[in-house]
Amino acid sequence: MSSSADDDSASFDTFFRTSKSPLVAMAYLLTGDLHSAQDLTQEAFLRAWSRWSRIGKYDDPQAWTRRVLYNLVVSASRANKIRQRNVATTRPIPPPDELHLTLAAALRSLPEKQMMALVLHDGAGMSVKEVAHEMSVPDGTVKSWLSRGRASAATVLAPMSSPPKESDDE
Amino acid sequence: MSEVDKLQELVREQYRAAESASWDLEPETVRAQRRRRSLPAIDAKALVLIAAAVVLIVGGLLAFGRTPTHHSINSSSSSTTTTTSSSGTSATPNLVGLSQAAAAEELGSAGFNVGAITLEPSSIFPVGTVSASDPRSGSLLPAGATVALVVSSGPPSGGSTTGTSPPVTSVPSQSTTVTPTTAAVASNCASGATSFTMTAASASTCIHVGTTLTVTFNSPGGWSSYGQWSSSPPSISNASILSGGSYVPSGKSASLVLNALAAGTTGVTAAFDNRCAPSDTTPCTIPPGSFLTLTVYVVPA
Repeated sequence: MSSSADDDSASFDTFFRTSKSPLVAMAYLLTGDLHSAQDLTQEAFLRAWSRWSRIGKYDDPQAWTRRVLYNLVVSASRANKIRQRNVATTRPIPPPDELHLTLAAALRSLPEKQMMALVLHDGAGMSVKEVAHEMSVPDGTVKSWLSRGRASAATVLAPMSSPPKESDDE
Repeated sequence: MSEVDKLQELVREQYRAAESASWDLEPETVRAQRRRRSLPAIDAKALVLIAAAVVLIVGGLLAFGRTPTHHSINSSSSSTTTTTSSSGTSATPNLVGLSQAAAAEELGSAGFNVGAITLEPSSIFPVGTVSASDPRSGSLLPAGATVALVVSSGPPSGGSTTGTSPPVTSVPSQSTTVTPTTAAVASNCASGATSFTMTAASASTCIHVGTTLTVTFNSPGGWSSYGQWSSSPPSISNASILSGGSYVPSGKSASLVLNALAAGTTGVTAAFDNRCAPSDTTPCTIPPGSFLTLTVYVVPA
């Protein structure tokens, strides 16, 4: 007979396994630095776990955790905690460079809803309908957020996103 | 390709890259952090320290007039071994503040046996930790002798501190909160300071054998810290240190408990080596608003 503590662990572990990648991906988009993204995501999971008796009962614990993660990113960026890091070349992603960091800053500067819609649709590949369901708003609202968000972020990015850089970093 | 298209492409590419990047974090690790289990040691090269240098004198004095046998400890409990050491007697270890299991282990290693265990409420000691021993720690006993333990059953409920056992003299505890010697810790930290030192309010504080020192690193709101405790000098004998990495969520604190300090101990130093995240290998500036508190519980040995 499993105790309710065991049930909590099991449900959290399942939640963790399904949410780990999407959450770190969002954090990475918002920080441009994988190390920071992983640390912040770990912190977000820790907070979900410490409130799991409540959060675990939500329909969508991932949405709650996403918001927590977003707040952590904002706090961290304000405190200048997001640092540049030389990622080892064994990692499959290129080391953080100015483009990624600028993209991250651009996304962070968006209103939260626009940013979230961008991350879910353009990043995670969810359909407008799915994003609308996730964020509990009509399709039209999502489309509006997407177009405004993209336009704002693209402006910030414009000077940087022209010819591809030579990939001879470090 | 328009700017917006480029943006979308970039967002998609970055998202997918991070999604598939290697990251070997298991849910068990996250769950264990809540219970503050020992975590892998961090690089000990600590450029950033919060050091609490407590100058005090640990004495073997007994200030309070209570006798050790203030509760129903039966000293005629049988011991499992009756061998007498040919080398005579040895001192019983300090047990106050340890968990019951840890205390039993300490006694066993020292060649003694656990006697009767009595549960008693305590407003100082957490449930399951030893609040007193009979005879007192440091008593000279032959090998195989029995030491009885009083284990805390938690805070006394209501206004009464006595249960069914014979009345216990309520022992007042002195708690000293240490304030940093530098006037403004926050500005120190904000300017990139990497360490600050705290000393006990009164350098001549006399603390009894078995006293528990709790040094608490308090994290300010808004950021989590991660740190590892260490203490020195190594000449602290019989010290029981709760070490291991502590993830300190914002606004929370992490404590190092130094108990079982031996008589004559001076110059206890406790350090909290601050990082900003578990994966950090370099120290991180102390977040502004962090502070250390030192709480001293004075108990009779």
